[in-house]
Parts: sequence; C-alpha cells; structure tokens
Amino acid sequence: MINTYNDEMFGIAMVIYLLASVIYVVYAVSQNKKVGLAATLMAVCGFLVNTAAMGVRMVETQKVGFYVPLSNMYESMVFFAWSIMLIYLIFEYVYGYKVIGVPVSILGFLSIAFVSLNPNISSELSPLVPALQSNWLTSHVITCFIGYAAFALSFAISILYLIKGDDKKSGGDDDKPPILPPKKVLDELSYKAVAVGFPLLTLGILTGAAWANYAWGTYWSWDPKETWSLITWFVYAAFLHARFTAGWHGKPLAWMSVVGFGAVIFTYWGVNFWLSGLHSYG
Amino acid sequence: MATGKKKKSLVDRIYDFLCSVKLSLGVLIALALTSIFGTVIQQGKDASTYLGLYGETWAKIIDIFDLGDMYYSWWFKLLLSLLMVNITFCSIKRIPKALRLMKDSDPVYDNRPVAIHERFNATSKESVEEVAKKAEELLSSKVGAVKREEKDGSIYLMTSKGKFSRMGVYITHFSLFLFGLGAIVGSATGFKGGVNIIEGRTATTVYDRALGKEVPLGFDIRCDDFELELYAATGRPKDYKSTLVIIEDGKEVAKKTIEVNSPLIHNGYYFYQSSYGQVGVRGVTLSVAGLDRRYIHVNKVLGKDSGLVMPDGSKLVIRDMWKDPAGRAPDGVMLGLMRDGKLVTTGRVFAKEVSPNMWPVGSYLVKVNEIDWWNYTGLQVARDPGVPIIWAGCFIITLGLMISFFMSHRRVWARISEKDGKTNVEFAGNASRNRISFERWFEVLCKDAQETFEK
Ligand code: HEM
Repeated sequence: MINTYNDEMFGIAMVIYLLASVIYVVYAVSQNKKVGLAATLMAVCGFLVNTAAMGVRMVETQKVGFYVPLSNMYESMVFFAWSIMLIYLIFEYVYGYKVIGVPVSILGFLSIAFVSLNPNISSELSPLVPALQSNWLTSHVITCFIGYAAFALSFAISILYLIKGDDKKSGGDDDKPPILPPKKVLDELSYKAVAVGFPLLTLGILTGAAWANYAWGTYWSWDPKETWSLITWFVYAAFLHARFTAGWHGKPLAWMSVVGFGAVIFTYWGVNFWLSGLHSYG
Repeated sequence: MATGKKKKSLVDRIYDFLCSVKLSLGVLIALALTSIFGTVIQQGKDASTYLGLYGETWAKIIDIFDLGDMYYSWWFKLLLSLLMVNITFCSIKRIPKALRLMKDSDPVYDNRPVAIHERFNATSKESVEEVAKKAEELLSSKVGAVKREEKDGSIYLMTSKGKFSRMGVYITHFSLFLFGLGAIVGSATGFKGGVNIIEGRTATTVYDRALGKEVPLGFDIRCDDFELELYAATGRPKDYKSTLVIIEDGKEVAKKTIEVNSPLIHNGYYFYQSSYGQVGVRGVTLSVAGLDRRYIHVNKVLGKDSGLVMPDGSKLVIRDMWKDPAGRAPDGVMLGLMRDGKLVTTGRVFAKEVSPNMWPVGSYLVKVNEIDWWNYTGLQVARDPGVPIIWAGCFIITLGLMISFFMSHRRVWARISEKDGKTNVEFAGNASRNRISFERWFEVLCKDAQETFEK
C-alpha cells in the first residue's frame, strides 16, 4: 500500500467536526455569543483541514497516475462531508441560526468516520479505469454531491422542525430566547436548502447523462443508480410542488424532506450495497 | 351564473383534473414508487429466469405488468405521458395569469391585501411633489422603471425588478417536454448496436440490438490498430484506443483514433470504444532449454505460422491457445513438435507468471515470456437523432431552474400623501419568492430612503 498523508488529515478534520458539534450544542443551550463564535471557528477550521486533506490527496494521486480523487466510496464520502459543511457555513453566514450547526457537524463527522473507521472501505489510491477518465464525470460527481449535501442540510433542519414543540404565541414570558429558531424560519430554511439542492441534482443527472452519452452512446439506460437518482429527483420535485402549489407547509413537508433524504442515501449507498449496475465503483 | 360554476360539465372536470397540481403530485409519487421495482427486479431477462429467481406467482405478476422491462411497459409510458399532458395543460392555464402579473399593470397601492411583505414609513417637511420626485429617483436608480399615478391628491409610484422570473417555471416545464420529445424521436428513429473488429480486419455489418441481427450501415469500418495501456502499479487498464477507418464505396472517407469517452462520428453514427479482447495468438516469445536446463533458444519470437528449429531437427510450432476472458485462469499456448511434417508430441505451456515456469514439450523445456495476441476492439454503435433535442432540454432546464430559484419578481409600491401638514411617504414591497433575501434587500432600500427623506 502506498503511504499517504491525507488519511491522517481527514482523521483530524473528523475530530474537529466532532468538537464543533459539541460546541454548537453548548451554544444552543447557553446562547452565549462567544461560544457561538467558537463553534463557528471550529467548524471553519474543520472545513479548512478537510479542504487541505482533499488537496493533499489530489497531489498524492500522482503516485499512481494523477486523477481527481472523487472516484470511490472513501473519496466521495470525505467530499460529502466537505460539501455539507460548505453549504451549511454559507447558510450560517447568510441567515445566522447556528443551532443548525449541531446536526450538520454531526453529519460531517459521521460521513468521515463512516469511511475512515470502517475496515471494509479502503482509503487506498486507486487509479481510474478508462471510462471514469472524463471531465463530465468530475462535474457529475461534484454537482451530485453538493446537491446531496444541500438535501442533507434540509434533512437536518427538518429534523429540528419535527422535534421542536409549537412556537410560543407572541413574546412569551421567557427571558431567554428559545433554543431553536421559530418553526416558520425552519420551514423556510428547509425549503431554501432544497431550492439549492434541486438545481444541483438536476445538473448532476444531466452531466451524468452527458458522460454516459460520451462513454457508451446512451444518455439514459435505466441502470439502478440512474433510476434512483431520478426517484430522488421526483421526490424533491413533488416536495417543491407540494409547497408551492398545493400549499403544504410544516410537518408534512418536513417529513417529505426526510423521505427525500432517505432516497438520497439509497441512491448513494443502497444502490452500491444492494443492487448491481454500472456504478459499482462508488 | 353561480349555479353554472357548481355544476361543471364532465369535459371541464377532466380538464381541471389534467391541469391540477394534485395530479402532478400523484404522478410524481407514482413514478418514484414504481421506478423502484425496476431497480430491484433485474431488467431484460427472459421469463424462465424470473421463474427460477422468484417462483411461479411472482413470475406471473412480473409477466402481467411487464416488470421485466418495466421502463418500456405501456403503463410506465402512460405515467410519463400523463406528466407531459399535465404540464402542458397546467401551463396553458397559468401562463396568461403569469403574463398579467409580469405587466405590473396596477401601480395603485391601496393597502390592499396583496401579500405585502414589508413596509416602510417616514415623514418629510417637503411638499408632496418634491418628495415624490425624490422617491421616484431613488426607486428608479435602485429598482427599475417607475410608474406613476395620482389619485385623491396622493401620488402613487410602483416599480419592479425581475419580472421575467415569473417565466422560470414555464421554461423549466417546457424543458421536460423536450426530454419527452427527444426520447420519442430517439426510440422511433435511432439505432443501437455493436460490433467487434479484429485488428486489420474490416466489418461490413454491425449487430442491431433492436432487430437482433447483423445489418449493413452503408459503409465499412476497418480497425487498423488497437492499443492497450496498463497502469504500471496495478496492471489494470489505463486506456485503450482503436484506430478506425471508414470506407465508403471503396474509398477511405474518415479516420480517427478513438478511445473511451472519445468516439468517432460518421453519418450520424457514433462509434464508441467499449471493450476489447483477444481472439488468437499472433506469436509467442519463448525460451527453450534442453532437459539439462541449458538454454538452446532465448527470447525467440515464434509466429503463428512459422516454426522454431530445434537441435534435433524437429520444429516447434504453435497448435492452439487459450485465454480465460475473466482473467481467472492463466493464459497459455499448446505447442507441438513436428518432424518431417508430422506431429510428434505436444505440450501445454502457461504464460510467464505461473510456476514452474518451464514446461516440458517432448524432450525440451519451454518458457513462454510473452504471448502476443490478436486483439479485437469492441465498439458500441449508436445513432440517436433525439440527442440534440435532449441537449436543448438540458440547457433550457438549467436556465429555467436558475431563473425560478434564484430570481424573483420584486415589486415596490410607494404612496406619498399629505397628512397633518406634513408629507407622508410609505413604501411597501413583495416578492414572488425568496422572502428572506427580499426582506434584507428591502431593508437596504429603506435605509437609503431614510437617508433621502430625512435630509
Ligand atoms: C418532474 C417534473 C417537474 C419538475 C422538475 C418541475 C419543476 C418545477 C419547478 C422547479 C418549479 C418551481 C418551484 C418553486 O417555485 O420553488 C415548479 C413549479 C410549478 N410546477 Fe412544476 N415541475 C414538474 C412537474 C409539474 C407538473 C406535472 C405540473 C402540472 C400541473 C407542474 C406544475 C407546477 C406549478 C403550477 C408550479 C408553480 C408555478 C408558480 O409558482 O407560479 N409541475 N415546477
């Protein structure tokens, strides 16, 4: 096995995400501004280490013949962690509401932990078979994964929505603000995340089709991975229409986001583990 | 006509149903759920396979609902068509209203409940006319062209931005229509098939997958060369390439070295590098020793039709070869010793990785260093006139989604009126979507207004 440094760096990022989630929890409970800042700094720090680790891995691929490291389960999961932190940090910057950082940094932690602590998943650098050497593929993976990350964010927000009790009517006599943002805000933010994820997933499916067209001469062949990404796409299209035209809000929509993320997970892992097809590499 | 509205005719009710978002939700969810079958049940196998895999009852169900080829079954196509019809009718019904909203035809803001998101209020000592002028300037520089109307001594202004975003949804939906059209055109007029060509040979027909037989394309394809490149570290394929020549009426009309992800295109036919293999031995590089293990020949090339002369006058020749396409069994050749044109003995020799690396053939020990195979290149052949329509759909859906998600129709109304000897300015605004970012944007606008009117 070729010696690499990126594994250790991903390990560090994983630990930082775990720490960040703890600090976000402390922030959520204490509502202390300084703790909030510390949580954000920790998350940013983890994100930077994650970024650097991906860069180092990319350089290290030269040992086996250079490739963009987005081709197997290990590489895609650490990229997923990176994507969800990226989307979340943008959301935090734009909208505030740091409590969402709790589930998100846990997801970031879990996705690295899942591949780096799992003995069945190899972190080895493995060069690409010819079909995978395509810029379409790189765009395909990037768009899909950032899209998945946005859906994961919507999922995290929907979970907060579902566990939060009803909003207190007007003002209330608590001197402390409630730990979780108002339900209306959660509802809106969950939609926002889907509104980011949906175009990205769409682009992901399109670039995947373009790639297939160049590699095999068929832009769509109903292989299980393709079909599952389409299923996911249908679910989120239904989500958007339920919200915008059927006027759904709140709980049903939060559940729909949860179901949608279930479809994402199945598209991503389920298909690899349970079904066979063209995408068996990751 | 109050009663007329209640009792709609059947046609109207069907029309309403076909326009409804309830139908689209139903169809989208139905598509999502039924699509799952095809990912669990292997597609395109024959009836006996399903019988063996799932038993009689399920095999029957699979047969009845065409689940073995479900994405091309009548009911799945029906669902897809329903989605198209739904989108078409829904758009026809809604576009006029969207166009009306785009016109911003009503500048008068009268505290009507038009879903006003945000308000702003300030007073000024200047006259109504002067304040209106300033407000107009501010709004036209920050938002867009301003409409003005006077009513009951008050001045009403209205401006908007991003009108076109109201079309985003229709653009998006239209692209789905293109995908449907592209798929239909492709399946009606397209060609899918494949051909294997041995290096140096010419193919005059290719296999048509839909017809299940070989067909001519109107031109021949020759494979001049096939090249396989392996990764040094793992020995796995890094790249493979074929040099193809198209021959039409005996003339070479096109030539290209194709590789995976880079096809040759001729007459609308795309030739994709999809696989490769070996079909026979071209030659073998081998070393021969006597039973005393002393080398007689070292690294000699033995061609398929030539022979290698041994010290005792016999000739070593290639008789046969074998290769496991899956790569599990080692490659090898069957060698023979000929004397006076007659076969004396044979021996199997495996290629170099297998030990022992010297194998007996008669009274010699032979080591095969390399087997040089005849390669064939495996090509996918496709012609799909629907692809340009699909590309157009891709472009349009991207555009449509960007417009519908990241733009919004933002409207701002202003009323300048006199109240208790002072001039009162009110702003109100709303956006077709993205409320949170609209609020921020409106806040900035209000700050600018504050500065303008308080000076
Ligand atoms: C897979 C299929 C579909 C996709 C990808 C799609 C996509 C979209 C998108 C992206 C939006 C904007 C959502 C938003 O405003 O957040 C939208 C809105 C809408 N869609 Fe679809 N759509 C699909 C099918 C349909 C169908 C079958 C109908 C039929 C009735 C429909 C009716 C509508 C309506 C009425 C709106 C809202 C228009 C408005 O905001 O004024 N959609 N669609």
